[in-house]
Amino acid sequence: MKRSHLLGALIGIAFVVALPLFIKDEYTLGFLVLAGIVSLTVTGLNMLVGHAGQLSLGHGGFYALGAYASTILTIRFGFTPFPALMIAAIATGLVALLLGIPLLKMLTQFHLAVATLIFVMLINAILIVGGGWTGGFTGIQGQPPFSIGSVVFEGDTANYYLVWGIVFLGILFAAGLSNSQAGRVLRAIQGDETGAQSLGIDVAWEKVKVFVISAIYASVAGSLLAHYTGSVTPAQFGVGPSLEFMVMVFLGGKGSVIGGVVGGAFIKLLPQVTEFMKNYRLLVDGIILTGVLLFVPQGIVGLFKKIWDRRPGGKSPEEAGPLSSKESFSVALAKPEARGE
Amino acid sequence: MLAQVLQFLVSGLTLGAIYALIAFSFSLVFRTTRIMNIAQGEFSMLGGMIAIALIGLALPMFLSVMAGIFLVAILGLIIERVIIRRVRTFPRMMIIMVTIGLSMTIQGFAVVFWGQDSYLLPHLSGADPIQILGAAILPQTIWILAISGVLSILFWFFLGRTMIGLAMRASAENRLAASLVGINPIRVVQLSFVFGASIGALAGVLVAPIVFMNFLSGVLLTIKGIVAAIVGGIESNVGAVVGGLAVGLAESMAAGIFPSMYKDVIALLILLIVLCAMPKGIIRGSAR
Repeated sequence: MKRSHLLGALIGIAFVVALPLFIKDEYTLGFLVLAGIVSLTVTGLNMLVGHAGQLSLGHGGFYALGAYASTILTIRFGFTPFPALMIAAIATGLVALLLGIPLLKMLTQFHLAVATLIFVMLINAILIVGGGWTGGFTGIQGQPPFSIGSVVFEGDTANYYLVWGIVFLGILFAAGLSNSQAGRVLRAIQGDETGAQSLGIDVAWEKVKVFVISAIYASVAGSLLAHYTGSVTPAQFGVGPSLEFMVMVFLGGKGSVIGGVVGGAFIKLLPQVTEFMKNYRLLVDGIILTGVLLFVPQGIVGLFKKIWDRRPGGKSPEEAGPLSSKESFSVALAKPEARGE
Repeated sequence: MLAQVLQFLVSGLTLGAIYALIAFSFSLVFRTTRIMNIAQGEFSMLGGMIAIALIGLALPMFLSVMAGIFLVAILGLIIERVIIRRVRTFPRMMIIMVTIGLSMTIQGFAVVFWGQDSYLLPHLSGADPIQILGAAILPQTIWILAISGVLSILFWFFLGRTMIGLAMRASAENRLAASLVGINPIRVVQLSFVFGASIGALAGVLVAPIVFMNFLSGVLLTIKGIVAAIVGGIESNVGAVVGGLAVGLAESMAAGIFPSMYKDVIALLILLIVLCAMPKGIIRGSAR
C-alpha cells in the first residue's frame, strides 16, 4: 500500500469515526446508518462489476433474501440476530450459486443483466404472495435490534458504529481480494477473457465466486437493515433499489474499493439535501447514471484520482498510467473490431 | 373444456402478439446497431401513457393513439442522435448501462408526469366480448392480432423487397461493406431507432386497454420482449414472432393451471428458466 493511500484511508476512518460526535440530530444519524448499509451492498456489487466485469440488476433480490431470512429466523424461529444473519448469508450465497452457475457459465453480460432483473422481480413477487410467511404487501415488523452475545446494538449511535464497522471489514476484504492473486485473475479475465482461459484460469468459476461473494455482501446488508429499522416490506427491495445500487457503483467509481461507499453515501444522502425529490428520485437517478457514463465514466473516485495524479509534482500522465476504465475506453475507441463484435 | 382451452389460447396469442412486437423492435435495433437496448419496453409504456393522457384531454381516440406513437418515434430519433451515437464505441458493459440509465430516466419522467397510479386506455372499439365457441373474445384482441399480423407482413415486405429495407439488412450484416456500396450506416441506425421506438409505442397503445399501465410497466414489457427475442433467435425476423407467441402462450397456460395469485411468480419463473435453458439464439448472434 502506498503512503498516500494509507494517509487517505486513515483520514477517511477518522472522519467516519468522529462524525457522530458532531451530529446530534437523530434523523441525520439514522440516514448515515442507512447510507452505511447501502454502501455495504454496493461495495460487494462493485467487486462483481469492477473486478469480474459482470452486471447484476438484481442485487435488491439478495438484499431482500438477507432481510427476510433474518426476520423470519428471529421472529418465527426464535434465533438470535447474529446466527440469523450468518444463516441468511449462507442461504443467500447458495441461491446466488444456483443462479450464478448456469448464468455465468454460458451466458453473456447481457444475459446476466436480464436474468438478474427477472430474479429481483421474481423475489419481489414471491414476497408479495408469501402470505403468512412474508406478510404480503405490508411485510413484517418488530425485528429485534442486532446483538452479538449479550451486546445489543440499540439506538442510532450504536448501529452507526456497528454498520460502518462492518462496512470497514467489507472494504478490507474487497481491497484484499483486489490485491490478491484472485484479484489479478479477475482483472485478467476482464482484460481478455480468452487470454485468461488460455492461461488455465477457469473463467466461469472465478466469475461465479465473485457473484456469490457480492450476493453475501447484499445479504448481510439486508439483515442489518431488518434489525436496524425493525421492519421489512417488499417495496424496499424492488427493481428501483436494485438499479439504484448500480447507479451508485458507477457514480462512485467502478472497480474502486471505496467507490461503493462514495457512490452509496452520495445517492443515499442526496434526498437529505434536496427534500423536494420524492417523486423525482427515479428521474434524478437515471440522469445521474446516464450523465456519469457519458461524461465521467471513471466515477467520482476515478476523477479525484486523476486530479491527484495530475497535480504539480505528481506523476506525469504517462507515468500515472491510464485509469482502468479509461484504458478500456481508448482500446474501444481505437479498434471497435477488437472487442469481438 | 374446449372453451376454456380456447380462451387461454386466445389470451396467450394476444399477449404473445404484443411481446412479439416488442421483441421485433428490440431485435431490429440490435441487428443494426449491436446495441441491446434495455429501454425498449419504455417506449411501449410511454406510448400507452401519452395516448391515455391525450384522451384525458378529450382528444379523439385515433388522434391520441397516433400522437402517442408519433411522439415516441421522435423521442427515439432524439435518443439516437444525442446519446446512442456518442456511446456506440464504448465497451459493451457501458452501453448496456447507458440504456439502463435511459430506461430509468424515461420512467422518472413518467413518475413526474403521471405519478405512481395505474391507468387504462379505452378499448379501440367497444369493450363487450364476442362469444366464439364458448370463449369470450374482446374486440381489442382482434385488433391486436390483426394489426400485429398486418405489421409483420408489411415489415417482411419492407425488409425483403424495398431498397431501404435491403439497405438496413445489408448494414446489419456487414456495416463496413454496406457503407462501401454507398449505404449510409448512420441513416440506417437512425431509421432502426425510429422504427424500433414506434413499433414499441404501437405495442404499448395496443396493450394499454387490457393491461394497466403505470411508470413501471415498461420493465415487465422489456424483459418479456427480450426473452421472446432471445428464445426465438434474435437474428431472424420470424424469431421475434415465434418467441413472442411462445412466451405469451406459456404465460397464459400457466395462469390457467395455477391459482391466479401466483400468476406473476409463475410468469417470471418461466422467463428465468427459459433464459437459462435456451440462451443459444443470442450467443450465435453476437459471436459473429
